Amino acid sequence: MNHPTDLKVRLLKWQLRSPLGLLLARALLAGRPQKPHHRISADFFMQIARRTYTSRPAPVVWSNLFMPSELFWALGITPFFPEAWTGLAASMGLSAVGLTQSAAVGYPVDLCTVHRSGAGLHQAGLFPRADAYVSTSNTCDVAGQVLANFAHTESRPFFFLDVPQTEDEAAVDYVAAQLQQLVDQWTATLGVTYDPDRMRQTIRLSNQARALALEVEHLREAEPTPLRGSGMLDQLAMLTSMPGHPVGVTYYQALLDYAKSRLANPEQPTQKTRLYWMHLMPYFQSELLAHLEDDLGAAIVAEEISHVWWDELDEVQPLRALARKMLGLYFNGPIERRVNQAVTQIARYRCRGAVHFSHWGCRQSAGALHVVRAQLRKIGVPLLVLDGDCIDPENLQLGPLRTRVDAFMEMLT
Amino acid sequence: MRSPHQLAMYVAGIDIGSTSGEALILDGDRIVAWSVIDTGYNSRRAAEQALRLALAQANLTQDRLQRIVATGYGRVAVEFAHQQVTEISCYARGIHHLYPQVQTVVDIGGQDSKVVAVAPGGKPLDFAMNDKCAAGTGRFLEVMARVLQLELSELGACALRARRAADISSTCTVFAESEVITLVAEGTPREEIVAGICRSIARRVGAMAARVGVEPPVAFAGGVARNSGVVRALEEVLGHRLIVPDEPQIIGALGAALIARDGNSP
Repeated sequence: MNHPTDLKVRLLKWQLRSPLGLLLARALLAGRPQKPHHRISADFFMQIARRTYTSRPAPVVWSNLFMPSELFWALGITPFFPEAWTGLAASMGLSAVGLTQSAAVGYPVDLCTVHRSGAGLHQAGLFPRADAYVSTSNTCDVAGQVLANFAHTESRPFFFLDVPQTEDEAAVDYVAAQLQQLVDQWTATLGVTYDPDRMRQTIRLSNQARALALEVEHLREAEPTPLRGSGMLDQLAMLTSMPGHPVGVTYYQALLDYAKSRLANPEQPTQKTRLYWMHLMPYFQSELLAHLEDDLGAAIVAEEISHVWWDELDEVQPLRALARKMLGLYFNGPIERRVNQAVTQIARYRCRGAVHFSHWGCRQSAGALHVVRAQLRKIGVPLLVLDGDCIDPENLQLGPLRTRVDAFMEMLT
Repeated sequence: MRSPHQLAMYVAGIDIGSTSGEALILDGDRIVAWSVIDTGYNSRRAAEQALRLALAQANLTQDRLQRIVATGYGRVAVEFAHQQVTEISCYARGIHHLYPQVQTVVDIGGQDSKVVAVAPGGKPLDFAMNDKCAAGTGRFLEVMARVLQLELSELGACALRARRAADISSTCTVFAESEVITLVAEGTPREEIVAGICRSIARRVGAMAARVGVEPPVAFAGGVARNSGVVRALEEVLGHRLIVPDEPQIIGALGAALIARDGNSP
């Protein structure tokens, strides 16, 4: 007899690879009450699912989250960001499938669960086939290793883009040259073409989405803040996959309109203490966030990962502009950059405390905690470190964390 | 003429930990009575029993209590309490009441250990707790005492007799138990093994204390503070003499009672 999880996986595989299945899923989603921006993002990811799993009208390239999405959209490539899709799978209760499968093929358990689960979901046949792989060297080194592993196993081209830790003009030249090499490689191997007009249009769309996202950030400064922080946990996926696509503009316009509509009627009615959230959040329905927001009245008013970190892109020199965007990421370069962003955001949003969610296996973030804590202490802002997991619900039970969270809120009130 | 009971304003603090539960009744600054019991499997029942014992000692009935505050990991089960407050706040408050000069408090209980930086008013400034592991807690000592066929209360004196401490892992209770069994098989003197166990706990808690920043004077509370071997090992690791209250187990209940007395603000 099949285990219920096996049946779920089989049904999902059919649904993802069948035009009828995707139509059915779309119809089901349309029938559910959703906020306008959520409807747009769901539709966007359904479109990507259709383009990667079924119709495949364009080449599909798997990428880590820190490649600029504008490059894919400008070349007419459909990007597949496994880290974002693993988060989506976690929200659908599929983490256990990925983690079990990855253990079966030998991924060690102290590896980040995002990559373990993603590798397992790919192994289980739940992710689409790739025509090529690409990864940047910055922020997360596991992504590059896992993607290179897939490329090797499947005999697909893999491009490793080295991102230096400096932000000077030499670094911009270096990254821009690699982006040009990548464009050359893809135009030669994937049958896509580079059209400067299309690139300019992509950059314009990206800038429009960016301007709207900045307005959303501005609205969230309000007291009480209009949006629930837990509702912003998907922002990393939006910020890394939508810029340059027309949906990016539609999505951020809808989010902005929604935020405006909640200024007088905030999503979270009781807001006692304003918090700044560092690093990730659980992608699954979590008691932790519900307890923080609803029982304790903590208002998460800004998140490190939902911040628009880059300047307006220059459409005259698009590859150099994208290089600057990559180099400017707060995780890149010296730790002071990330700490300074936190200090600035905490002051801007008038936060009384900060929470660092240390996702299992994410060394690039947790490794800097000592410096983060020391700098925040200098400005009188306590830091709560929560060791947890944004993918595996079994590694994030409220019980062991409850005293830490409650005590932190007692300390702040 | 009024009786002293009519003039008094009694409040209670109840601390339900993983191993033991304590109730303490306070009248102003005066500790009227306190009790310590084994928690067992039912936190609510343990709270009721601990309070009943303390009330009996004080010759009071529960309706004389103006306010009850519950703390400890079982605090949420104490539904009859007026307020639930974490043990972080309660230990800071309890220690500050007894020793206002203390700036850091270390608490090692049955299932967790914590280090709290105490602000001048008795509120916590910062804190750190053990992660999801029994190493560095009273449970670690219980497991090791069983392996060494010693009573828990014998460990402290046994450790103090040792001329050196055996090297024992501080990362995992299960691995450490295997190490102890190996040391026993190799004929390592029991005193040295116990001293190694105490040092293992102290190293673990010392690393946690470093995260918060240890500012003297430092107090040590919780059930494990009764173990003189751990006290000495922790003093060596922290580099400070430790203030150990006469009844280190009741500090959480005392803090809870003080919060009950002074109102909602911990």
